[in-house]
Amino acid sequence: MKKFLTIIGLAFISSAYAQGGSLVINNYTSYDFHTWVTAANLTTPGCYFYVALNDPELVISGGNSVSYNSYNIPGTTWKVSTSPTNATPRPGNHPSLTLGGVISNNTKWVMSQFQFYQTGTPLSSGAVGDTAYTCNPVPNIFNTPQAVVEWFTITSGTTTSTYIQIY
Amino acid sequence: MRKHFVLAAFALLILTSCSNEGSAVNTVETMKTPQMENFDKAFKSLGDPQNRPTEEERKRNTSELSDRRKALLVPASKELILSTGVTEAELTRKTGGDMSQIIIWATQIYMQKSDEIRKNIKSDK
Repeated sequence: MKKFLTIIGLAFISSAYAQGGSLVINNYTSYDFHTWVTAANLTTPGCYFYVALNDPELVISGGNSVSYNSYNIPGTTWKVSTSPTNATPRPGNHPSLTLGGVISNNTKWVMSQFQFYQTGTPLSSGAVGDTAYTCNPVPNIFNTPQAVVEWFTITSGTTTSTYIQIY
Repeated sequence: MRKHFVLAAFALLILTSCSNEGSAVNTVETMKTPQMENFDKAFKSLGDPQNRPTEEERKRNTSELSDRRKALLVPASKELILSTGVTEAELTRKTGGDMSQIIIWATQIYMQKSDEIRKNIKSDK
């Protein structure tokens, strides 16, 4: 019951805070880009309100692009934390995580931790993200020997599209 | 000698049939519309040396794409939106010329079209 009230409360508090935005990853290199992405609610203090990809990592092979509208990515499990004390794993197709779901509506993409691979061999790793995310600060451009990874957003009203570009 | 000819002919047949098979396989990449390809190119061009973020843009302490770089995406975005049958007047009315709104709209169209292509490929198989 308490959990339910919390969720309802959250839904009301930040109904203006909509993910409603997509995540696009464009890999222009010949390397495979493996990434664990994180989203968070930037208006809740305390850094505990986040959604982090747990398993498996997203793999964007060389020369490919992907785009997602929510956490509902087939086969994924996410670590969902909405309180300072616990984080629970949830499948990406959990109603709260799909497009229009309460968690989905109240979080935005903030970070990508990544590693390059070539024919299965791990190469350099790093992280990029939104510079407004101060809980785990990462740059929005990261240079590796393999490529430059850039994170940027395009925002209009309450809609944000997030792009990760690998040049 | 004749045997060699027959063999060579067979080899040629097998080779051409194999290469035909390859060309018959449709991928999202080969089925993209010209407008989708241009949209791709525009995003890729953000990595060209002259289009990378300048020192000043890096110092802004925001991850929002700068107006200078947004402008590089607008022509291809407009083209993609208009290719769906939306008129120039509708585009102006709905977006008020706002670059971000135009690019986000085009991104949504791009994602939708990619999904449709993927579904078509699946149903072909």
